[in-house]
Amino acid sequence: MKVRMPEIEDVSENLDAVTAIAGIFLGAFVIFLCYTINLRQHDIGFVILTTSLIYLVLRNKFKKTTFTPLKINHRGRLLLNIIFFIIFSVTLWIWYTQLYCRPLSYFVLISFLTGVIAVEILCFEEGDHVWLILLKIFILSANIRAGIFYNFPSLMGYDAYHHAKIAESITNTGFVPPFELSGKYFYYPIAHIFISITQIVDQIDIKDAIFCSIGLASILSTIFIYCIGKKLAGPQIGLLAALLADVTNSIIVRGITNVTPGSLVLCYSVLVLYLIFKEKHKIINRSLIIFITLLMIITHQLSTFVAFVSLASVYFGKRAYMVIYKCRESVPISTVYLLIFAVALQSYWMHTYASPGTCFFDSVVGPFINVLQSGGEYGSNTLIVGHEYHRSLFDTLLLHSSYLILPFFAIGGVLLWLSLNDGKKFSIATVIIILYILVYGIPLLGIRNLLTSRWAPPLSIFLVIAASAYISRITGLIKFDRNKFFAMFTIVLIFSFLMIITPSINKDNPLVAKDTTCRNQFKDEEICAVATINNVYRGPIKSDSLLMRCYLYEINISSVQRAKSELLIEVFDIDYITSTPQEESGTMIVLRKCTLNEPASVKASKFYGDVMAQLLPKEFFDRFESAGYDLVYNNGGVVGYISR
Amino acid sequence: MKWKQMRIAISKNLTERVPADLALVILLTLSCIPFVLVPPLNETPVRIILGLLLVLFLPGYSLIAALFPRKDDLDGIERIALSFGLSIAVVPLLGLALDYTPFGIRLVPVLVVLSVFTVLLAVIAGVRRLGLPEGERFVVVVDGWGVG
Repeated sequence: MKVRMPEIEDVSENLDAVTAIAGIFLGAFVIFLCYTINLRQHDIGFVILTTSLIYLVLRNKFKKTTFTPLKINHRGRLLLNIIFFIIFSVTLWIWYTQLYCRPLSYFVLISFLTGVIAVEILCFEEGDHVWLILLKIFILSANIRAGIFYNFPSLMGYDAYHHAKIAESITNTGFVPPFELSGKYFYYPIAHIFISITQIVDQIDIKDAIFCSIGLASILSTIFIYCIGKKLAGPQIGLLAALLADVTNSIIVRGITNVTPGSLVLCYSVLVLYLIFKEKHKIINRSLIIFITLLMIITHQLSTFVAFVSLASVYFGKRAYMVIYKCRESVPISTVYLLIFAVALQSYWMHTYASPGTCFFDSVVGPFINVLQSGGEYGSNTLIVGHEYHRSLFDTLLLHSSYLILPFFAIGGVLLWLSLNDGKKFSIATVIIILYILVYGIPLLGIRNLLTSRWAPPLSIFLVIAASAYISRITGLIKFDRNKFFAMFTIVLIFSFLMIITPSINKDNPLVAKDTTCRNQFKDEEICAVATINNVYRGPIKSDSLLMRCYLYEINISSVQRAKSELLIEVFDIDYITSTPQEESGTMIVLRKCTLNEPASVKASKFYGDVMAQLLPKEFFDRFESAGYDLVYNNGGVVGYISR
Repeated sequence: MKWKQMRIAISKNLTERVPADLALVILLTLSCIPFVLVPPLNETPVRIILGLLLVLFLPGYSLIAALFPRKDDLDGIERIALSFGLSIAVVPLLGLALDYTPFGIRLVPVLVVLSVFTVLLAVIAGVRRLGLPEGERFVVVVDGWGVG
């Protein structure tokens, strides 16, 4: 009896099923590794396994289902609009009337609004007014971002202070500041000039300028996600992708909570992606792609590398599609373009200095090679593995769900798009697979200097496109219109809620993981304390890390290193808090009273970045009431002691 | 009487020949100058609205209008999206160019460069459109919420 060997046609026809089976095995393998080598990735293993299994079970139904818009009459549409704008106004009122916090009701209502827009998208038909829906997506997005950004009077983020200083210097002097202040941005500070021009033309302060330039750019660039989604799978998928992108936490982080030149690169990379998928006007298109690519390269080195990896993955997907399906119709991305990109990127890295004497290329590749050479030794001895926090089951569930819900839907979308014999969708699916492996795999190998956590925003852009396709198919499986409405509303509401409550975008007032989330913005009382102390006192200072960063905000100090060396600021470490060390006479100790109830970031060892979040004990505060210290400053929220 | 007729003829000719969208772009760009420079106009919120348009939209719109003069080149949303996308690309580059001049990145040079760039490209776009048969030219049709 002859056994027929599977041919490439069999694989191409059932590629989604083959990948889903591989996904089931991969998920099971990850779970197995969690029990054998303590990999601690149970949840992602479980998600890969279940979503692959669900797809495999419902595969035939998914393939037959198409996205058909639901009928809604004029009155229903009007009602949805009225509900949207009333609740939108309520969220603004809630936000406006609270000081330094946004209550649970705010987050619930924002999620509800996202659900309302999703229902409207479900009813969207060709010829409907796409502008109104896009407008609602943008104002909702602006509401979320402004809610985070303007909750406190200071800037937010860690790198944002440094970038704000460069931009302000450009505004004040009219020229790019020297290398000592600008560092590697000395050559072409595109993002800083953009912020500065906004500040100059509108005569606004630096915080508003950041929001109006990078913040608005981040919001408005989701219109390209709509355009890409529309080109790939129709306007409904495009709108849903834009909606999901605007509430996705990693995109919000890059867009507003930690603004860097990489935020602008993210906008440029979506634009390039759109231009690649746009097929008309090849010469103008190609010129624009090259122009934006070069601009991206000079804007930010590392973020552009991620964009390069994404585009190389699109190219790889195109090639794989052409081999598997023996077809020449695919994404119009050429080898020549990728070569130009690679050469230009490498040249720029080699000719710009990260520090005096070391070019950017050396400063990235050197440590990377060191890590590869030191191998296991590096991992076992010097790798900081983080600190284990004990959270409640509910907190853990919410936290883990918040970063698993997007992959859950996106993996389904990837499997779906692998089955459709469409080169463009196939390429998107390939990008997701490759980037996901890199983002998860590289840190698991102990390699941290590629900063793969910063790869999440570009990855999320591809994820939301695939996820929206899958969500629309899921609703397509449901029989009755009313149930479809309910399913779409519930899925998007839960998605939105899980995304917008995460500590990564709510460090100021987290709803979950309160005990382990440290605030990174400052209250007025903290800013005043720093300003006053700086005016009247010169000498060594000890404080928690938030107050130290407040110096960067309030005083013209460009970096943490300079704050430590010029202002003699030292941050509390765990030994200082728990033991009673000999204090140098004349040292100022500055304490925030709120750290009794709100965690502060405390140095756990001498290694850079090894910090842990904890409440400061009452005994620690009591120590300074003793005879060895004099109370010299108290504004109600911040107290300052000087050691005798 | 003759003067009045001539004026009507010129105005009719202009409205027929100058595309409304480009005229609006030029008008908004030029009105930005007094609202940014002249007190007390530059203390009103209009400055921020016009200023944001000048930084985030108008330069890109002119550029896109000059590159894609036909109506079937792009649909309405693509045109708006690219206008915004190219604005955030072009504006910092113009600023960077100013950094290499003695004028620097200051209010008046920035305003002049952005205005000249926008108006010049709007004029080029107008000329390119006029060179096309009437049926092929891009025109803004405002129909409820649809722009095409």
